[in-house]
Amino acid sequence: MFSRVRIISILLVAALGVSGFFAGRYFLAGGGSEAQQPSPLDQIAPRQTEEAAEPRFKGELLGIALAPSMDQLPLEAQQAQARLTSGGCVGIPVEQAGALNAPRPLALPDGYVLKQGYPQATACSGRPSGLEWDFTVSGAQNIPADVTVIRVITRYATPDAAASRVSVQTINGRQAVVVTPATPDGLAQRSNAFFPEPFGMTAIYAFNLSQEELLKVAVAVAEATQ
Amino acid sequence: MIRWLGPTAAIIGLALGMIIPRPASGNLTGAQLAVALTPPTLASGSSAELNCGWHTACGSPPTAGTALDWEDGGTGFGNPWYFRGFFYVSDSVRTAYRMYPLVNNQDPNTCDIMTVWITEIHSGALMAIPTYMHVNITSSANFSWQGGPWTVYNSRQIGTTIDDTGSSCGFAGSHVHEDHTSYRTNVVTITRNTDLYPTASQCHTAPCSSLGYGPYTNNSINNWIRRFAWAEGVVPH
Repeated sequence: MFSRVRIISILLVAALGVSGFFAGRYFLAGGGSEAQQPSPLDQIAPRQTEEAAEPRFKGELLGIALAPSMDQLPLEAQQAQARLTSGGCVGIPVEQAGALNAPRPLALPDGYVLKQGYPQATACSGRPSGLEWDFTVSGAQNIPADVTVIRVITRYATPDAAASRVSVQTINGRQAVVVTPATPDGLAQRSNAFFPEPFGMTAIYAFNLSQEELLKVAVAVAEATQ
Repeated sequence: MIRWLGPTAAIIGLALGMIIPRPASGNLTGAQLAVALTPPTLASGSSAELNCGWHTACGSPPTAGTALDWEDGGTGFGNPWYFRGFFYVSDSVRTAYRMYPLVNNQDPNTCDIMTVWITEIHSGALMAIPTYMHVNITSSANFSWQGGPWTVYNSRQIGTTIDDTGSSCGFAGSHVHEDHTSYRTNVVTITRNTDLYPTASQCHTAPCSSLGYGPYTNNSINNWIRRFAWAEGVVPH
C-alpha cells in the first residue's frame, strides 16, 4: 500500500509535468489565441511607401497622356474630359457601341473568367464612348486579381506610378505603354498597358496581377485588336 | 532523489509540449468568426437610403447581381463612406481582425473601385474582400478591430464619394456601390441578406424607401447586408 504522502507526491509530480506540457504549448503559440501572426499582407504598406517616394511619371507616350491625377494631365486632356462628361455618361446596350468592338474576339488565357454582366458599354453626351470587359483570375498569393479591358474614345489615364515602371514596349507586334507593378508579384498593386487606337485607346487596368500575367493579358489584347 | 522529480517532470512536460506536433488543424482555435457589414453611408445611427436593389449594373432594365447602391446624403460629391458592421468572435471579446484598405482602380475612364481586405489576426490570412465603387480612399492605414458577441459594432471612415463620370463609367449621381469578391468560398460562408433588401427589379429608382424598402438604420444588426463566416485558423495564410 502507498502511503498518503507518496500518493500526494506522485500527484504533484504528475501535475507539474502536465502543467509544463501546456506551458510549452502556450509559449510556442506566442501567448494564446490572441497572438498576432505576421501577415503576408503586412509587406503591402512598406512597398507602397517605398514606391511612392520615387519620382512619378507625368508625360505623353504614343500619343497617350499619363499623370498621377486628372489635375496633373495636360490642359487639353482636362478640357477633353470636361467636354466628354458635361452631358453625363450612361450605360447603353453593347450593340450600340459596336464601332468600339475589337476586330477579333477578346480571348484571355485560361483561368480568366469574364465577370457577370460584361461586356458593358457606355455613352457620354449621347455618343458611344467606352466598351469594357471585366475579368477575374487567381492572382498574387492566390488572392483574386481584377483585370479590366476597355476600348474608349479618350487618350489619357491616371496611373499613379513611379517613372521607372513606365515604358514603351512592342507586344505581339503592337506598340504599347506598359506600367508594370512595383514588384514582379504584383501583390495588391495596380498595373496597366495602353495601346493607341485611331478612335482613342485600348487599355488594360489590372489589380493584384503579376508582371508576367500582365504581359500575357497584353499579348491577348494585342492579338484581338490588331 | 524525490526532490528532483518535480522539476524534472515540469521540464520534461515543457519540452514535450513544445516538441510534440499539434494535430493537422493545429492553428484552428475552435472559435467561430463572422463579419456582418451594414450600410456604408452616413454617420452611425443614421437612416441610410437604398438607391438600387441587388444588381450588377443598375440600368433600365437593371442586371441582377450582388451589389447594392447606397445614397451618400448631402449634395454633390465628397461625402464620407464607412467600412462598418458587426464583428463576431464566439469565444471572447478580443482583437481578432485586421483590415487593409486598398485602391483597386482609380482612373478618369473607368469606375473607381476600392476594397477593404479583411484578415484574421490569428493566422494573418485574408478571409473576405468587400468592395466599394465610385469612392476614393483618404485613410489607407491598416487597422485592427475587436470582435465578440454580436453586439460588437465597429465603424471607420475610409474615404469619400467622387464624381465618377467617365468614358467607360455610366454614372448618375453620387452614391456608394457596395459589393464583395467571392473568395475562399470553400471555407468562408458568404451570405447576403436577400430577405431584407429588394432585388434590382423591385427597386432601381432612388430612393427605394418610396417603394417601401427602407430607410435602414446603419448601425442595426437587423440591417446587415452581407456576412462572412468561418472557423478561425482554418487556413494558414
